[in-house]
Amino acid sequence: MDPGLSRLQESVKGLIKQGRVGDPAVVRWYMRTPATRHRTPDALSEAMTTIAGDWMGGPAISANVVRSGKELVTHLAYGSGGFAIVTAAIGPGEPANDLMVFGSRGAIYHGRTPEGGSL
Amino acid sequence: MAKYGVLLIGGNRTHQEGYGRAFAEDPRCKIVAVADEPDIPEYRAGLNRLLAHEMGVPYIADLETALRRKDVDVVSMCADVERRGRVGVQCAEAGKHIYFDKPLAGGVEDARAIAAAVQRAGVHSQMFCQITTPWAQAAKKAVQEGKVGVPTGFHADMLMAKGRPGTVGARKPRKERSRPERFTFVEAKREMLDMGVYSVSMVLWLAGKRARTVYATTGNFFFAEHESHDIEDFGAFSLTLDGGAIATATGGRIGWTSHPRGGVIRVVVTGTKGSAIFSEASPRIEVFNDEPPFSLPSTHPWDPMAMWSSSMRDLGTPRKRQWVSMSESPQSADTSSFLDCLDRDVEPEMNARAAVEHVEVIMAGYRSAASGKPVKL
Repeated sequence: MDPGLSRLQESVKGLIKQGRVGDPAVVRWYMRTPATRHRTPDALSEAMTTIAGDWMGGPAISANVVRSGKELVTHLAYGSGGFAIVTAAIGPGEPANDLMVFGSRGAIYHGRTPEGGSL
Repeated sequence: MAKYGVLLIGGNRTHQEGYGRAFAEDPRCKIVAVADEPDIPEYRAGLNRLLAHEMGVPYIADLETALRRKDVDVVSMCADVERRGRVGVQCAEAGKHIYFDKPLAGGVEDARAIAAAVQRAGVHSQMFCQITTPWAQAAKKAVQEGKVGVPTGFHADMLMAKGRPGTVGARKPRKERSRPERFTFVEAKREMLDMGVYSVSMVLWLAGKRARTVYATTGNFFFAEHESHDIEDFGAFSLTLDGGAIATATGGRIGWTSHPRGGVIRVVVTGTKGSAIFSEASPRIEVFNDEPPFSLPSTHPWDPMAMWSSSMRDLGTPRKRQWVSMSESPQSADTSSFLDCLDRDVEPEMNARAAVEHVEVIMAGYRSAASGKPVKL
């Protein structure tokens, strides 16, 4: 796995374990990376889904997938009642990694998406 | 002399607190009166009278009488969601231009009846949303100019950072109703409808396409108030759109302390050339100083979710002051845009006809959340 993703996974997991945001309820995550031979939207989505499950306390019990070209949205529901909306896109332009985790008492933000104002 | 006489339907503890004042501040408008249906509960009539008193205009307790007035050109309509179908049709049939609170209605039949009445009457209509804000206009321009290439996805959020979080009971999967009938309570509202309409309207407007399929989930994550009425405090949609693009939209309430300002209000647009985020919070100024940090404010017994500016004013709720917006209020931008359309006799983009689709999508979302399956439109 991408070392950056691993660091993000462990950092967020640590904050959740410390109880900084209460019970994790919703993961809203958009990630876009450049195309490589080994990276497909499905593979990226799978990696993100696995990480989201780690934060949410286990794998999802259901998933709905919609896609458009090289962009894929996986809408996951967990046994706890929480859910995740994970968007994986492969394509040119600046990479983006925009994460929000909402817990019962707080939120975690990690953002790196190009600002529209700079277009 | 003001060009438009404006009748306000609804009073304090409705969005009329904001819309009414936005119209009043526009030199093109004169507020004629506050009015409502005659058989509404006494607490609602009292709150309507209070707004009329604050704005220095009469309260007319019979809507039909108010709508017969020749000096009323425009109605700003904030009746309870459950009454909007009936009241909206009545306003259109009276031949008045209508500025609608969001959502247009609490059911597809009501929404369609309003749109049909507006069309029959030949009046202009607009529903409040975020599309007239500078950040939404920048997003539309970027899409139209192909800045992200051919759009593949639209991802909007409207998550209000108000209410005391962490009060909900033990977490469990929410059992959603396929056809909710009541949306408005004193303490809380159904957030997938009330907040979700902003993000659903945003993605459909940006895409310029209709939704084909709707998948949605709802939850009770934060607030005892929502849980006690068995209504969701958070909802999320995944949509497929005509033409092949996809969209996601969230609507909810996440609690006072979960955001440095009013909440997450934004859209991410993605395409074949790149992606970009457009946000209410950008551009902004951030201030760090020795002022006391924001802390959980007191809870108003009649407005624990801090939905209304009047209750926050009464309670002396402090404002978050670290992020400072550089834009005018979305309400002023939106009412001004509506009046511009009336001046030019052109139809507003977010008219009743367009707003019907938001209700269709959101109601399909409740059916999806109840069944756990996508719903085709």
